[in-house]
Amino acid sequence: MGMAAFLLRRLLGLVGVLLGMSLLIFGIVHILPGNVAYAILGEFATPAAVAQLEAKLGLNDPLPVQYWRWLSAMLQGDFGTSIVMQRPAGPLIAEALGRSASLAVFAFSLVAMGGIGLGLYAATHRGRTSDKVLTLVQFLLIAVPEFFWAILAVLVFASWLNLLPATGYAPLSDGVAKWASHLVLPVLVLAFGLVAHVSRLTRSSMIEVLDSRYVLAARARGLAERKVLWRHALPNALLPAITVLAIDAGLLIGGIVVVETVFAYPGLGRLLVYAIERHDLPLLQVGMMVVTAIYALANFVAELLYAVLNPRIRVAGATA
Amino acid sequence: MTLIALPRLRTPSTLVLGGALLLLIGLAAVVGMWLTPYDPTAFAVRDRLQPPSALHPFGTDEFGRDVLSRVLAGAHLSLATGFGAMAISLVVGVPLGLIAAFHRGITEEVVMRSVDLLIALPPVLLGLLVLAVTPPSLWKTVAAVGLVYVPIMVRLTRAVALGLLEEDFVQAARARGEGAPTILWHEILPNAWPPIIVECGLRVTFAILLGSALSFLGLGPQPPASEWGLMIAEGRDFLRQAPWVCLAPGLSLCVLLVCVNLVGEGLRERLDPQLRGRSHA
Amino acid sequence: MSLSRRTLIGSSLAATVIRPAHAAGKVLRIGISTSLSALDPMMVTTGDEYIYANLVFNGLSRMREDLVVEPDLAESWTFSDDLKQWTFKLRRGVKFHNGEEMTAEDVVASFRRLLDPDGTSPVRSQYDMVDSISAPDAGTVVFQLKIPYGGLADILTDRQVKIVPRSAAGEMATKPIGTGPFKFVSYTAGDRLVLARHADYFEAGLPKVDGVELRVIPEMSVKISALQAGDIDILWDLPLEQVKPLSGRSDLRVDSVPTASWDGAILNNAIPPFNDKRVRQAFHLAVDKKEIVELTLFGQGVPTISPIPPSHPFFAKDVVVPKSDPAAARKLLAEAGYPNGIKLPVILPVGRPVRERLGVTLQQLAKAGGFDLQVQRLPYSSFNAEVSGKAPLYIDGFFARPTVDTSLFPFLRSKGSWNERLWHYSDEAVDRALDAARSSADAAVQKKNYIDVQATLVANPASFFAYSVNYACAYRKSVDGIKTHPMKWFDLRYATLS
Repeated sequence: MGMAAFLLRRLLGLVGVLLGMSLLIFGIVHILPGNVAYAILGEFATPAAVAQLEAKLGLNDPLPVQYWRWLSAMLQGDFGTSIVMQRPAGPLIAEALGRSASLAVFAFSLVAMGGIGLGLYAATHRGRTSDKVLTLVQFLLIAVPEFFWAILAVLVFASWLNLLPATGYAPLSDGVAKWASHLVLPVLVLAFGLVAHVSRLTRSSMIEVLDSRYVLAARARGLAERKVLWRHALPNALLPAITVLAIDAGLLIGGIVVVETVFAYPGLGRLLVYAIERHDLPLLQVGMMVVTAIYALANFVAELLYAVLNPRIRVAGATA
Repeated sequence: MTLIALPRLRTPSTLVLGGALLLLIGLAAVVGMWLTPYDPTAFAVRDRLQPPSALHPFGTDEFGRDVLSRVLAGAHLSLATGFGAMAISLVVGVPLGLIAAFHRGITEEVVMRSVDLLIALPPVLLGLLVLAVTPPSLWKTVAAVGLVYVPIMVRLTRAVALGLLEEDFVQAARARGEGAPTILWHEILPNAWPPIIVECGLRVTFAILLGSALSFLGLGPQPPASEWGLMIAEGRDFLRQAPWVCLAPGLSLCVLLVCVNLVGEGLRERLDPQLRGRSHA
Repeated sequence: MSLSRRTLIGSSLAATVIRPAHAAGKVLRIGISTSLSALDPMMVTTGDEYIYANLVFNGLSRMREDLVVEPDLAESWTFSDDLKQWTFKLRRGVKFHNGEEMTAEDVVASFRRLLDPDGTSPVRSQYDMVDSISAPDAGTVVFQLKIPYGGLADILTDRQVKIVPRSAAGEMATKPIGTGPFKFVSYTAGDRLVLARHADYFEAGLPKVDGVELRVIPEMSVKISALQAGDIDILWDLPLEQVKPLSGRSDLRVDSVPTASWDGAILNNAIPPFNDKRVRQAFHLAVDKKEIVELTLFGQGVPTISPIPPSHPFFAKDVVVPKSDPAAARKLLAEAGYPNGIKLPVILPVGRPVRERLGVTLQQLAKAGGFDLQVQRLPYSSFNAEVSGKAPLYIDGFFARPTVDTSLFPFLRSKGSWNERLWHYSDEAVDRALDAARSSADAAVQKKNYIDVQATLVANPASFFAYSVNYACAYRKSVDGIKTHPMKWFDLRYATLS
């Protein structure tokens, strides 16, 4: 099966997943306990006011009608209105997404550079003390849950050292330094586990390549060690690391929900938790849809990269 | 939430060390359910928010409850989440994976497309949604976490089984006219175990992490239970005055995770050397 | 499906355009806990929103920190002998933030909006007694009431009854405009609400600071660090466990004042087991309210009998409340048909730390009295639909209301709006006393009747009113001119920053 057919199949799969996801999200959201009208009216809801508001919001229509209304509006770019905040959900989500994206971009760059760099360092210093220390540190990084890292960071930096603004967010208009200082801790916490992951993989694949006959041959030809490393070993060792990075992009999204909650960072994850708490169904539906779309896209890209780099998968993928 | 490959020479020692420590924690968890220095739910107003001391090695919390006793009494909850969720993903995922591998066509399509769907939701969000539908409790957290990992188990089992189905001994069994259950049970499954067991080791780690994160967000066992994620969440309000209320369960969680990780790592080295270096997202 | 590029670019452009250059001068920064949801004053329902509503808008009357009601947009008011017609004379020359002058037509429009049967204001039912409202001239507003009501000027101090310009009433949710000392500048959900000094404010020379920012900082340890570091000037609603540790600091002023806000265990009188008066009495005997105050509030509160706080002159300080007696509680339970005690769930709201603590405290303390409670935490958003009126026992609480009548009548009168939703309590003696109190303008008559209500509640408990909770606030010493308001909002007209 050719690359084009594989791509088409995967694309169709992606559309299917997104459609299925929209049904699933709509379904789950509509069996959530609680009631939108009650959520809006708060502690002042009276039965009459609730009934009236429900009628106004179209909550009494049959579910398929509501689903179709939602889906077709979304396809036309209408993301609905947050009923609790009484504002269009589209811009709310776009704003939050932008803030989450700056977290994700920094964290991801850190994971890519830090992970690969440390992995290469460990592989070329194999067996030395520095390698062993790195192994130990990475092991610890992985064994600490993100939310506990976050709490430790708050404790150390905000309570004890009074160093960084441990939580919250400052817009760029407040100045670059202030904006960046709010990003440091969440980015670090997000990146910790993944850096360890990527560096371990880079290390083992680099070691495999360094031990291969191909590199041994290059060395035998009398090439400089530096040239062997950068020209011959590195490109081969990077392939698996790159695919892992793509997968980690997906993992990052899950981490963002937790990290934003603890750091009170006003991004998409926090917006979703807020929507669940306040029972803001339109906001929740669209937000979940956006997150899953990004997640599905990341998985899709990971799969493509993997297929490109490792043609054998394409065959397996075709039968999947 | 990831796992690393340790240097290959350490194989036996990681398994032995991790296993021994895990056994110790398991023992402490079992003992902790009945034997704690203090009643883990008893209030002592005069002793609230006391720093660690000889009387209270981990200090006391906002109600004057002994933190060490609470950590001990809560250990079995984290273990239950980890192993329970792993068991669920195993019991549901492995048969589905085998069936999907054996019955190509419509059955496979249904199973694998559902898997695609489930895998496209970030685990934390899926857990949040599932638990938002019903009042939270321990077994629901376990079920939700287990559910999150079913798709991974299905994919793995199917991939392994697909490979095995091509092998000569399976072809021979088919030629002998043996039925699907017999082939799956007697030919495929015994040979599919090593990678599945390795995967189980990983799942326990992830399940403990995800379970404690959900519990931290308020979606796990309910007070006055002392699940570690819940304890950390409750201790947050007192982080400045009494950091030990958060730190004790948090560090315990880390120790537990290191141990499970060591065991998983050891199993991996032992059972499936070829898996080293493969990603485990 | 993905966001179109145009949406993204459009919104980022909009964000840069709307976001103001930071106002120079003295800006007071207040740390609050949660994002505001509603900016329309008639829609506000949370403490954080109440702060905002009282800074940007004015009502006809206002309540001082000592709970005395004084004129605000109204200069004075009179009422007819039968207490059914109220006439308010308006202050003239008051300017809205958009430059328009406030007239009686705006007042009438604001109230019609709030009382609109097709509208969505959550508080409409609180003004059910209003029959009609009219503006005989630009400076006069007349309220016709359906029933004699002595407390109209008092309840017009409340958070939602604010005056907005009739020309811009439809845009309150996004571009709020009022007459208050501060005007709305911008709001970023999850981050901050920015207000600037209203230069045309009707009290000359006020407010004294150039602006106010409400900063959303959910994590308390971070908020305290921010206060100590000077990143915020005021920490609103300081957790009660922090009052003692922070009081000793030389750079801070910590206030803890009694309020009429209360928390309690809601006992549903309509379904077993609390439909039996003896079981309700047993619950009261099972636990010691003083111990609850110590455990739950770290001592920052007082046990109470009803929503009337012990700090109020109408509190029944001479009524004898039986001491806690677990053995007697178990005996009462046995008489009621529960010889082995009662096992039932108690539902707590997730994310309300004090009420969660109250639930855990009750769970532990009530054991001795024969109540075996299983804690279940649910999101607060599901309380109204899933818990109120359905669960036999759950933890809830209510903010202070402007008058004793509004704190008691809806909750305890048979068929009262809150009574119907919370516990379905009915007692003839209580009904008589509540009716008598509200149709009199004589404080002595009111006091006698309200003390009767409390005495009856001791003998025939409606629900478990645990305590009146204190409200604490921490200020940097550089802040001056602010008194801590028991209604938990701020009057910042005289606030200064050095």
